[in-house]
Amino acid sequence: MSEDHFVPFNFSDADDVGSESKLPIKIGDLLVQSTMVDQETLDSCMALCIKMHVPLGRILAMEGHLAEDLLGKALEIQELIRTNALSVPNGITALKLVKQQALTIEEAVARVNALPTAAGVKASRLGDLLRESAAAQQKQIEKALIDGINASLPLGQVLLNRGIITIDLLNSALMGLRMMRDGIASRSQILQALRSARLRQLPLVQPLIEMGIIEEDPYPYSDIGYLMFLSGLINERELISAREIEVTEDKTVDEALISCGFCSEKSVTALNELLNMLMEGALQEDQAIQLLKKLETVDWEIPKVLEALDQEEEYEEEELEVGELLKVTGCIHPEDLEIATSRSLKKRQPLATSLLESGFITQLTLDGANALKSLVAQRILNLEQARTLLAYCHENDVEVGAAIKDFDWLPPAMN
Amino acid sequence: MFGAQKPQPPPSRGRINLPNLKSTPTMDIYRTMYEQAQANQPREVEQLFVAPNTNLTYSLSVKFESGKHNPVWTLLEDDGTEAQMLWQQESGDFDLINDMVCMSAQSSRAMDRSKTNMPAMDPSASLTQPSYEQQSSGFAGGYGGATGGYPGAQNSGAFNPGDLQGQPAHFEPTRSSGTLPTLNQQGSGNVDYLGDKMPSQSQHGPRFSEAGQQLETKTFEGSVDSTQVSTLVNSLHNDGLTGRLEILGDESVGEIYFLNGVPMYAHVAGILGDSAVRELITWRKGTFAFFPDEKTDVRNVMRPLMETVMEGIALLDKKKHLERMGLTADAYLVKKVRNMSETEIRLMLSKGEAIDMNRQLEVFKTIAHKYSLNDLLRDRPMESADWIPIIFNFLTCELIDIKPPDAVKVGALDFLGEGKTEVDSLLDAMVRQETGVMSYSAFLMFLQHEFFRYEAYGWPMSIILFEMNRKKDHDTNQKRGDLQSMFDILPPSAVQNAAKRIEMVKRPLDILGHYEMLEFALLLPNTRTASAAYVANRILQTLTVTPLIKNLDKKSLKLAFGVANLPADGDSVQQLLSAARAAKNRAVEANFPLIISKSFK
Repeated sequence: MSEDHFVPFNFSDADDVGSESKLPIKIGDLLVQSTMVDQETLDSCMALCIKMHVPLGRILAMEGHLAEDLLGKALEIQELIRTNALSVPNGITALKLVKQQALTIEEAVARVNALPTAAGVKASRLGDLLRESAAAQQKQIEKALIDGINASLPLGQVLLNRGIITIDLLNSALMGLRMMRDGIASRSQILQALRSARLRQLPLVQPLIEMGIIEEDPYPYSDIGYLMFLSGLINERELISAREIEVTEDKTVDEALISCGFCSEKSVTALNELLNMLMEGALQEDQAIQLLKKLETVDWEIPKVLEALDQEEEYEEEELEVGELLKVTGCIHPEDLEIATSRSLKKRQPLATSLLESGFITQLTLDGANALKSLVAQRILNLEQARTLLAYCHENDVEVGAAIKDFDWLPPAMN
Repeated sequence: MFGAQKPQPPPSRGRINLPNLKSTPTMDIYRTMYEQAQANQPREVEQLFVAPNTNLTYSLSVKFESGKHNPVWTLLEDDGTEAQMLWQQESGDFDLINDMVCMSAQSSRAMDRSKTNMPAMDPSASLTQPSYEQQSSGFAGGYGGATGGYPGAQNSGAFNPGDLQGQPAHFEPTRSSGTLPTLNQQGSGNVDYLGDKMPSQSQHGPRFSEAGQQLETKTFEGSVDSTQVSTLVNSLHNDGLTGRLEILGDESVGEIYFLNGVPMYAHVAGILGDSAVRELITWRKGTFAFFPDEKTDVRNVMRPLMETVMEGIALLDKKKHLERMGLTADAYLVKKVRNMSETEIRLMLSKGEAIDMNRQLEVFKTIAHKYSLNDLLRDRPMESADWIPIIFNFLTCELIDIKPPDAVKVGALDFLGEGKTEVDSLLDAMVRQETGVMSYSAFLMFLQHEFFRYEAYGWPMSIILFEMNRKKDHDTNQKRGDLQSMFDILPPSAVQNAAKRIEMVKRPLDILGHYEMLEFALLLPNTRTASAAYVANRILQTLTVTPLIKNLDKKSLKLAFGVANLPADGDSVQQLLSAARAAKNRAVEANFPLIISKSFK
C-alpha cells in the first residue's frame, strides 16, 4: 500500500478538524459501521495515534487490526462518498461486501447501486418480471434485494426463503428470462405465459406451447447444469440458483456453476465433453448419468471412468428392514413391534399384515415405509434421508411424495 | 452473447387491414380487397368504415377459402357495446356486395336513430363535450341488478351516472411537448405468436419505428387518482376516439387501443383482452395519457364494453370494501370459527354472492393459522377477479376476520417507546459482536426457559445442533483422517452471512445461538423431531446454494446437523443435548449431513 493512504485528515478525529468536517463520514466511523474494527479497538488506536502523532490507519495496520489493502479500499470508498458517487449507507454496505465477499470496489459499488432507492426499485430483471406478472410485490422485492445483498444470496433465493414465491414459479420465471435473452419469446409473451403458468400452477413451457410460441421445451439437455441435476450432483434448488446467476448476471451456465462452487474448471471441461457425447447420441441418458456419478470420484478424468465402467460397484449401504425403519422413526413403539412380530410368526403371515391388523400403524405409514425402502434400494435416497422422511410422514400425516417434495429431495425422474 | 442465433419470426398469417374509411367503401375498395385476398390466400382482408352520422362501425372482410372459386365476404356491425355479424356472402360480384353493404348500412343507421331517439354523434366530437345520457341509463340499471349491495360499501348498489358526468373535467387537452417518439402505426407492431401484428408495447420496448421517427402527440393526460379509469374508458368510447390509452400504474403499465371509440386491444402485465380492461378499471393510482390515431391490427377485446366496465366497477367496489376492512397483501385472514364442518361452511356461504361453492370451499380450507393474503395467493394463485369476490364472500358471510399485519408483527414491547432501548441493549449484550449470533450462555438461558415450558405444559421442543467448518483440502478430506485437523473454523464474516440466511428460514420465535466453542444450535419451541429436521434441511440448502463468502462454497463447506427432541429423546435438557450431539457427530461421517436422533438408536 502506498503512503498516499495515510493522508492525515482521512484517519483521525484528532487530525485537521476543518478538513474532517467537510467529510460526510470519518474513516474511523466508516470502519466501525462496516464492522471492520470495533469501537473499542478504534478508541484505543485513536488514543495511541494522538499520543504518537501517527495516522490512525498506520496504527490499525501495525496493530494487526486491519489489513493494509482493506484500509486502502476503505479510503477509496470514503473518497467515493466524499465525491457523492456513493451515499453513506451504500458506502458502508459496499465496504462490508468488500470485506466479507472479497469483492473489488467496482463489484461492490455495482451491487449496492442495484439496491432500491427512494425512487423505487432499480433494474432487476427477475424482480421486474415477478412484479409485472403479479407474483411478488414491489416492497417485497425491495426488501428481498437488500436482504440478498446482506446475506450474499440471489433475489430468487431470498424470495424462496421468505416463502413469497414457490420453487416452481421461480423456475418458470428464470426460464422466461432465458427465453427472452435467447430471442425465443418476447417479454410480453413471457409475461402472459408466466401469469398463466402461475395461475394454473403449470411449468412455463405449457402455456407457451399452448400459445404456439414454442413447440417443445427449447432446453432439453441444454447444458451441463441440467446434466448435473439429472445425476444428482446438484439438487433442483442449486440448479435454479445457478440459472439465476446465469440470466441475471449475464454469465454462461458454466461460469455460473463455477461461481456457485458446484463445478471446477476441470469438471466443466469433462461435463461438456460428456454433454456432447450425449447430444451426438454416443451415450444414452442413463449411461451419461452413471458416468457422471463416477467422474467425480476420479478427478473428472473421462478415460479413467470409462475403464472403470465395467467394474462391479461396491455397495455399502445398510440393509433396510421396514419394521426397523418404523421403529427407529418412532412410527411404532418397540413393544408393539415385538407383539406384531410374534403374532406374525404365530399366524405365519407377513409382519406388515400383523401391524395393520393390530392397528399399530396405518396403511399410509406402511405404504410410506415400503416406498422409502424401495427408493433406498434404488439408491435414489440414502438411509438417513429415508429415516427422516418417514418420521416426517408419520408426524404430519402426509404421503412420501409430498414429504420428498417438501424436503426438495425429489429425484429428477420423479419431477 | 445474446441473440446471436435469434429465430426469425414466422411469416405473418394474420388479417390484412386496409386504412379506415369514414364512409361506405367504393367499388375500387372492393376490387382492392378482392385482389389482396386473392394474392394473400388464405389471409383475410378487412376494411373498417364508419357509417356517416352514426356511432356504428362496420367491418367488411373478404377471404378466399380453400377449394372455393369465389371469396366469402362478411359484414360485421359494432354499435360500441357489441359487434354482430350482419351477413356473410360468397361472391365475386362487386356490385352485389356494394348493394348489400349500402343497404345494411342504411337500415342500421335508421334503426340506430330510432332506438336512441337522439341525434347521431359525430365520432370526432371533442372529448371535453361528451354526451353521456345514452350510456348512463342502461348502465345504472344493469349494475344495480347484477351485484346487489353489501354492508358498509359507499358505492354499493348502482353505478352513479354522476361519476361519468362529473369527472371529465380533469382531462386537460395538451398539445404535444414534441419530445416523445411515436409508434409507426402501419409497421411497428411486433408479430405475435399467431403471426398477427401486435401493438408495440411502450413498457416493453422502444416506440421507435425503424424508419421515419415521428413525434408522438398526447391529446390529453391526467391522473387515475382523480379520474376513474371507468370514466375515462367510457368517455373515449362515447366520443368515438381512435388511439391508444396508456395507463402507468404502480407496478405495471396497461394500454387499451380504441378504434372509433370501440376498444379493440387491451393488455396489462400478461393479461389480455376483456380481462385486461376489467383489471385496468380496478386501478386507482397512476397516470394516464391518450395517444390519438395509434391503431392496432389485432383485436382481443370482444365483449361489450359496458359489461366489462360494470364487472370492473363491481370488483373495484368489493376491493375498496375489503381494503376498508383492513385487507392488504400482508394482512392475515383469520378464520372466525375453527373446525367448522363442510355443511356449516356451505350454509354460511349460501348467504353470500353466488360463486362456485366448491372453489370457495377449497380456498377456505387453504386458509391456515397466521395466513396472509400473500400466502393464499402464493399457494392458490388467482386473478384479482377471482379472489376478490371470494374473500369478500368470506368476510360478509362472517367466516373470516381480517387482521392487519401490524397487529402481529409489531414488537410486543414497542408501546414502551424509549423504555424499550434498555431491553434492546440487553438483547445486544447477549449477541457476540463478531458473528451477530447469540452467545452460548444466552442460548442456554433460553433453552432452560423453554424446558420449563415443556415441563409445565408438555409442549415438545427440538434442538438442531450443527457445525459449519471450512474444509482445508478436498483431497485429504477423502482419507477420513483426523477430523479436527481437516477443518478450519469459518471466518466471522461467513458466520454473519450464514446467520442472516438462517434468519430468513427460521421462525421469529426460534433461537439461534453459539453452542460451546465452535458449534451452533437452533432451539425450536413446540416443534416435533421431523419438523425440526425439515427446518434443518432448509438451513442446509440455504447455506450451500451460493458461496457464503468468496471461496467458501458448497465443496469447501463442511456441514453436519443433528436433531433431537423432548420428549422423543428423553426428559431432561442434558439428555436432549447429548442426543443432539450424538446425532450431529454421526452426521459428520454419514452420507447425508442431517441425522435425527431417534433414527439411529
